Amino acid sequence: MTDSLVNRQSGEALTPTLVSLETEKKQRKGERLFFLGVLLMGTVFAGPLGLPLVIWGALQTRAAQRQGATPTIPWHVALVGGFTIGDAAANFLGWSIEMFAGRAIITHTAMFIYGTVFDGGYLHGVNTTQLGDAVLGGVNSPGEKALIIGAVLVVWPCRLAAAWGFMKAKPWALGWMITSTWMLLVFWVIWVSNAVIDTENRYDTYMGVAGWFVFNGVYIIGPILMIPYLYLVDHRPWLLKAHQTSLASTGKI
Amino acid sequence: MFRLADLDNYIPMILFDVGVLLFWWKLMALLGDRRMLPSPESAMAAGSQPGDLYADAGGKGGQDGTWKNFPTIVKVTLVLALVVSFGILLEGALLMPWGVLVWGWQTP
Repeated sequence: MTDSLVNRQSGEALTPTLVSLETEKKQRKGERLFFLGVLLMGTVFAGPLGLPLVIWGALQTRAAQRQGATPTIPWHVALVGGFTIGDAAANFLGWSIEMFAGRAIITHTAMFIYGTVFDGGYLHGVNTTQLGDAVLGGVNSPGEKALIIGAVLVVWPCRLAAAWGFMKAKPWALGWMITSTWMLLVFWVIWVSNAVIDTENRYDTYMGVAGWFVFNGVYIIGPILMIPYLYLVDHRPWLLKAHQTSLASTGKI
Repeated sequence: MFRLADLDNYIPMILFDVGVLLFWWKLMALLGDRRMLPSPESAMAAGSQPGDLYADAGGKGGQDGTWKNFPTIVKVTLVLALVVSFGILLEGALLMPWGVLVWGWQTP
């Protein structure tokens, strides 16, 4: 994961404590399982497979740390980064398949289910929009389609890359986590407004207006609630990496 | 249900997604490495070593004390954020299998 985050060769202050190799290996294995699980959950469809891996990985890491292993990054950075990846990946993949593979069976079924239960925009008239001679797959609402294109091009890949860099302590990543969170807030306001304007189409479902907001509200509340954390978190892991890069570029190390 | 004939939809999607992701990664690194964040020079005294950043924490960067110092409201919002994020993944993962059980696969 971020083995290079804590520089073990630069002075006494960073000398690791004496723990067995086996414990350190257990720690790394736990971290890998955790992130593999998060990535699987991010695919949505393989989510049930990812959940046990997340729990197992977290338990292994915790056990190793109790035996003295040093975490490569603070636990809260791992959690925030991991879940941001899962959340962003789920949305990125979900709207990507809508955009590119709307007429595939898996996508059509997913839209039917989501459209029937939560959001009528994904049920009424899907796969019917004409774009020149071609039939543009997926939803047929111009507003929703434009937002999907914007999200797949900008919002989700930006956030996904930011979260990965955040966990790798890339010097630029903390700033981009904050930027992409604000970006998401703007996007969500536009997206909700667009749906409200299209009320008859969007809210004609089993769950109605309340169901739409319950299902879709959580997609934004999580990232927004991270804003205070992102501003207050200890910036040193990212500064450390920037400092190392800076020293390396000037030939001082 | 996976259909081989759908591959011509999926392959451009995968190529596109990988491409746009790499584009953003490169752009962020390009901009960010040019000092969007406070520069390390401004954060540290001249001549200091990277390890000095963690001198107060015994050099253990992975065990910083940020969490203890957060105001309660930040702790509460973060825990809520994580619970909600977990809920998102769970609802996304469960909706599809449940829907297929109830309505079966839908052919366009």
